[in-house]
Amino acid sequence: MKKFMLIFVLLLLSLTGCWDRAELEEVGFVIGIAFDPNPDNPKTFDTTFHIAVPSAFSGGGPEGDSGEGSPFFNITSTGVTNFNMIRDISKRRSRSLNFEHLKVIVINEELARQAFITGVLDLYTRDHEMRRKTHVLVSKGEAKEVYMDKLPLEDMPAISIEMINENYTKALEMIETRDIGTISEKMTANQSYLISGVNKEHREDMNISGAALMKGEDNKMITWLNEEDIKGYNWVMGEAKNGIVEATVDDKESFIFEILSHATNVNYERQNDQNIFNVLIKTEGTFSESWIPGLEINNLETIKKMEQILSKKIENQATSLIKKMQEEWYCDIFYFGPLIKRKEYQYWKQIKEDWEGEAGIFKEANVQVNVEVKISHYMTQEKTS
Amino acid sequence: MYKKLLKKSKMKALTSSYDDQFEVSTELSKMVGFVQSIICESSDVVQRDIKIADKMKATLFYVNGLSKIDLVDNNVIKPIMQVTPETIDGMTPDGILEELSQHVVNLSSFSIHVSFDRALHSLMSGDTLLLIDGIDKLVVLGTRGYEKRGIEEPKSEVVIRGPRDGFIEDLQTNMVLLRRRISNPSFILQTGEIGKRTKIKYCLAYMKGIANEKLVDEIRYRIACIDIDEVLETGTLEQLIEDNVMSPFPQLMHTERPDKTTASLMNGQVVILVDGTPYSLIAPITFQELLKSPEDYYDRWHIGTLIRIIRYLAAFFALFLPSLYIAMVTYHHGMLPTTLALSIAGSREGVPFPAFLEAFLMEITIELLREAGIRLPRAIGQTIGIVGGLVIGDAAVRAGFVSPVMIIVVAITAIASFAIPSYSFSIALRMLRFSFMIAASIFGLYGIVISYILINIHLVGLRSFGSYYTSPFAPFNYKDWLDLLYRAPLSLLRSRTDEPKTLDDKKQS
Repeated sequence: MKKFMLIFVLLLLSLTGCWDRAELEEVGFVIGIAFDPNPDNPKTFDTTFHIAVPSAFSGGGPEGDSGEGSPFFNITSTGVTNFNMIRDISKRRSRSLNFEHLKVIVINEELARQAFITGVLDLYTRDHEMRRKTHVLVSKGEAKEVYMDKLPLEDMPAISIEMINENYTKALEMIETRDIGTISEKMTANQSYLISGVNKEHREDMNISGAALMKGEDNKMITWLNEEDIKGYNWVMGEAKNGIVEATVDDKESFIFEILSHATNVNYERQNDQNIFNVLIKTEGTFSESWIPGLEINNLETIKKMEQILSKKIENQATSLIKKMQEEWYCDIFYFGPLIKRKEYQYWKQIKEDWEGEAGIFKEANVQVNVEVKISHYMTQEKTS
Repeated sequence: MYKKLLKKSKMKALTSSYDDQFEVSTELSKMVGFVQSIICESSDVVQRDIKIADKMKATLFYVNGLSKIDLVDNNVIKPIMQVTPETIDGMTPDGILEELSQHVVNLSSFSIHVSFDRALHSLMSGDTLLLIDGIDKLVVLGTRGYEKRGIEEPKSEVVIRGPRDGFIEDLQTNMVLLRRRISNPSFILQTGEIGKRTKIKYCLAYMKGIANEKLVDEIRYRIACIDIDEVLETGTLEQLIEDNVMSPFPQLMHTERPDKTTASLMNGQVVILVDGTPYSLIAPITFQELLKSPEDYYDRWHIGTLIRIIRYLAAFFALFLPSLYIAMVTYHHGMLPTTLALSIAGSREGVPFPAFLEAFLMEITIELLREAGIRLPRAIGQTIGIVGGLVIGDAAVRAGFVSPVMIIVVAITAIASFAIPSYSFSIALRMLRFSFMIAASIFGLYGIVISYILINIHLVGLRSFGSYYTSPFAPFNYKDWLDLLYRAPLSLLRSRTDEPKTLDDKKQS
């Protein structure tokens, strides 16, 4: 009897199985999504799904080259909510959409400037099928344009974007990739944050640089930060991993400093009712390229001079951005606020509401930037020719 | 259920005796009549009538081909015929037998029976039966000698470095192979008989002073309980004495290699040899021994370690790979890297079957090929391998029947299952693989995990002659881990494994 019961229970289990079964080849993998405003009806918006065509990926396939066609297709739907548009696609294309491999979400600048991002990202952060590693970007110009043309090397534009995005360590003009998980963290914490910008200038070129400044309290985009700003941001945040600094000697000859290591230490002190932040930027790297004629590279004095030029440059980049934030946009993108919270909790409780904003306390904070640059070696030759 | 069966068989008496029907008598013609009636019309039994000292009639029986004719002629018939009447004049029957035994027959084995059973069994094993008029005894003379295969390299367990001799079908030779490796008086080889009708000889071997006496007694007891007409192979014996009949896992290990057998003996295990088969049985075993090969110890420890790890990997692949493929393809698309997911999806484009059916078909095909390859003569067997592997695989892909990825999965699985040294263990994994595939097709990864847990529950409960089957994993023993996933240098392997429990734990001091 016991055995019968056991078999019976096991059979019952098999009834519940298979509910989410979907064969790999019967699924449409959405690799990228673009959100654009609808030109006809401002209440609705367009979602463009960037879907992979697997047969183009089979790598030769049985017949040699079955993958002749385009490796992706884009399909646009209009509506008020995301889920409705996803299901709309089910009516129009044979394969149901799957978001487990979603790489990139691109939001049109216009939509980002409205309080749009919370609503649009809600489904993509909370749904069980979504992954938190999806990169989010803001586009200058139409978002779906980004997915229109294949870039060389990668099969799909979305994959290209994702891979370019991960080059942020190489370029000082790029911020660290923002995935949907981090953004939703910032949104719930009401902190201001940056989202990388993507700019499609020509048909076969793309540029990921600059960033959209998102205000913490209402999640609206305020402005674009340009490349110089991003450099300063990376210095303050300690994210200038392996970028390069181009500097000039007396505004004439250029040279390149390649960053090997970088650490930024922010120290908070409260003195005489003043919030003092000491930002200490320490970096070490190599003297990689020189356009200076007759430079005595193995001379300690020369190296010292270079270091001074560099630290001045870095300091300028950092302070100008901090100033811009304090005086123009009143956004604490450097997370100085949480620093106060950690050190002076009682005080933070009082000022929490008034930290950012035009009359905020952040604006009045005293931020001092110190830079220590060290050129640790000068590559394989002791003399430049 | 099986306990009950076992009990039932124990209660039955082990009798199919001629002793109840026939009694020894002094009358030769009567005795010859008895023997003739028992062996009936068997034409391989030769009857030879002679006279001892010209007056006592005697009859010899021997089996043609089983007995050495040389011995029968020169050591039995000739000396008996040459006995002069004066020698046995006035002797009692017992006196005559004593005279024969001590002065006449120059054979090492001379025994006197009063039971037909024993005597006829010896006769059928190749001895010569001597009946003498006026003596109510059955005389058995050791004249055994028959054709046997020479010692060859084991076919099923090939090693690159290691001894090349293997067991053969003859029990005596096999015992010698072991004795030659352990010339220690405390190495015990005990013979006995199993099979109610066939009376096959078997041999129980163990190291006194290492092997646990209780274990030896238990094995002796289990063998004594066997009541079956024939035991032709150690495989039959294994099934009759194993702990859990329902388990897919082998609870005794068989091997053709005397060196592996010797190593087990030295580890305190008990070995059973059966006449007529080149496989020895080793009991008890633990799960991890099935993934060891004697070569692990012959090579230096780096090589041993590397091969061990590869073997565990092979066991993992053999068990899980097709089911993981099914789970990934049907449920967990997100777990594959994007490019891999897309290229698998691309290659499966146009395949008419769901992944489960596809995998199942291919696995069945591989099993078919394997079975056909074993049955066919060796020369054709290779052709089948090529035809099956290359032609069918390629054609199936070209026809859009299965995806190329599936072929890779099935091929790796098949190769992995061949890399496991124990054939019976690899069969166990093969069978379980199918249940994993079914579980994966219904529940995905969750099903695989549940099945794995169920198997583990079974394994930790399994015992082999009282030894924990999963030792040293489940009753954790850190010392044994030195010789588990990796093999530590020999200087560190100072003690025997935790299971089975032995009388002396140290093998190096």
